[in-house]
Amino acid sequence: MKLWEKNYILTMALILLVLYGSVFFVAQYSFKTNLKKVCEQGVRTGDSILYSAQSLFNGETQQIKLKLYCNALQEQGAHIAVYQENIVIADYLPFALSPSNKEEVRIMTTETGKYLCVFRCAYSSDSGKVTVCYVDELNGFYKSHQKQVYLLLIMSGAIAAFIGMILYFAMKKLYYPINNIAHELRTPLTSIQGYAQYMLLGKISDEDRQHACTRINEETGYINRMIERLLVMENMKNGKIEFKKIRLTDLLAEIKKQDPSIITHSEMEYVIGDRTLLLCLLLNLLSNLRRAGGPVSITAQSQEICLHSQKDFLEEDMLRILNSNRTVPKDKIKGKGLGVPLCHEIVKLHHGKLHYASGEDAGVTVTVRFSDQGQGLSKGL
Amino acid sequence: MAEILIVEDDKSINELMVRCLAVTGHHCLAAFSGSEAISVIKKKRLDLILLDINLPDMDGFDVMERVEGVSVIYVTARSEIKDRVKGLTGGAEDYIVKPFDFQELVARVNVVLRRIGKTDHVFCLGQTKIDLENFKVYDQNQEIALTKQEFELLRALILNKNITLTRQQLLNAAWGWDYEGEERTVDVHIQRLRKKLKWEAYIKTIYKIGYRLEP
Repeated sequence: MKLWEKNYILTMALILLVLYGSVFFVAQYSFKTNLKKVCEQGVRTGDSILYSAQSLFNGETQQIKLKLYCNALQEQGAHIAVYQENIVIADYLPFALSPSNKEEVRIMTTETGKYLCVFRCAYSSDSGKVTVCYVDELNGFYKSHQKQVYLLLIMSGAIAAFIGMILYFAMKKLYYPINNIAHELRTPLTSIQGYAQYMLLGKISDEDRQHACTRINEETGYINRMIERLLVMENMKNGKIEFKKIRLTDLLAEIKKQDPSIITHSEMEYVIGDRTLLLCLLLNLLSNLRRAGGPVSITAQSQEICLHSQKDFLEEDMLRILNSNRTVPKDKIKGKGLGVPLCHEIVKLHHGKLHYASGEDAGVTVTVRFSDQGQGLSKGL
Repeated sequence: MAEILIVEDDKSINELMVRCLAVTGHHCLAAFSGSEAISVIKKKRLDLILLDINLPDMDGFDVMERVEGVSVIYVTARSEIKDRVKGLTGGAEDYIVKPFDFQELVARVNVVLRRIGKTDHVFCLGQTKIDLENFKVYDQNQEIALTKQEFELLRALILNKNITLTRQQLLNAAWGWDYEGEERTVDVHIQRLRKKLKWEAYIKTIYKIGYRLEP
């Protein structure tokens, strides 16, 4: 497993722990608060029943009225029981309850899985202590709490998935250049190490020694250029860019100095941007097109710089990858693998667009299109 | 001397491998793409192919599928286990990851060549003939008696001819990795070997490093 994958898993585990911990806390807190409210409401209902029952209690006829009152309440879904000094006067409860129980509020479950809340209210009269038990069903409350918990779990799952996805791509992007650098440093390092050992241990002529030294020198130059590009990328990320008015003919002349075989034509006078970055962009694009071996031309006109190679060809899926600035698959990387993302970044910073086009007989054309807005904004800078 | 094809798109590394193996007496051919490699494989009789996986026109694994009857060693920057497993299960004799050591490359190539029976068992230099398989050394058809350590030193020098071997490497080759003796032991045995074979001109002392056989 790669280091960034390990870091990602660890970070996600921590996020999930915090997220689900919070969900558990919120669910518990809300359950306790709501249950307290239900109990308070139940106690108030119990008190009002007790108050009504008081007037119906004394005398035989009154006891019949009390039973009728209990019947009427039962029809409304409220079950009550009335005790006088532990003697049952009326019992309409769906289960047996001991009259001697002293608890004021009690939550219990029936055999059928129903949640019930028993409220006990008492008063002292001339004929002794009268206790009224009132039972309320809590199934509705439990169901709504369950729904709330499911909703919270679904929401936190969605949040976790969203954070996970963002974090995954962010970490992958962050570690991507490191992966490529490690991969691409191996090639020049193999050369340097190999030629150094070849000189140190092999029986070689002076000519071979000269050749090995040249190779080592070339490869160290290659590593140096790669480090420079990485520094350019780092500077871009940190926003250390200097926008200036650059004469395009000077820029093209500098490129021509590095690669005299290119054909240049410019109708654009100036371009506004960072000289180092623009040079890096054009040299990168040029080196990619040069791989095909044919001549490369650079044309600059009406806010566009076009690089064209007649000999090169890009397949459709590769074109899609390059135009969408997606990561080029490892097996299709021909150079250091840093070029295309770097070019896209530079063009984006100049408020422009990078576009690749290719056809079987048309070769490959890379267009850097500078937007008027970008150039105007830059002028303001 | 074996006929080896080196398939590597990086010009510098390709050239390096050709030079390294040429120093030890092998004949090397270079190919810079998969299609070029396939065309050489069809035309030439090869003993071994050193094959890179990331080639510009096709995958090294695809080239491997077109190879018949020739041993292959992958030399690649791809170090992941799945690639190693794919390479070795696909029929390769070995898998070397870049950056590789010059001597390691030579040693691994020699091991594969020995395994597939493409090495010469008899080495001749001047009047001396060495039968590496039967542990015999002859000087003008007269057998020379060598101790086990002397013979192993001789074998290491022959297999790495034109390459400098450090005293420690020679010590490991002749006495094994667990030997705790001093490196000077090697000097004594090399002196004896030079005297017995009359190879004073061939076994060179490389100052502060070790010894090299220069036929």
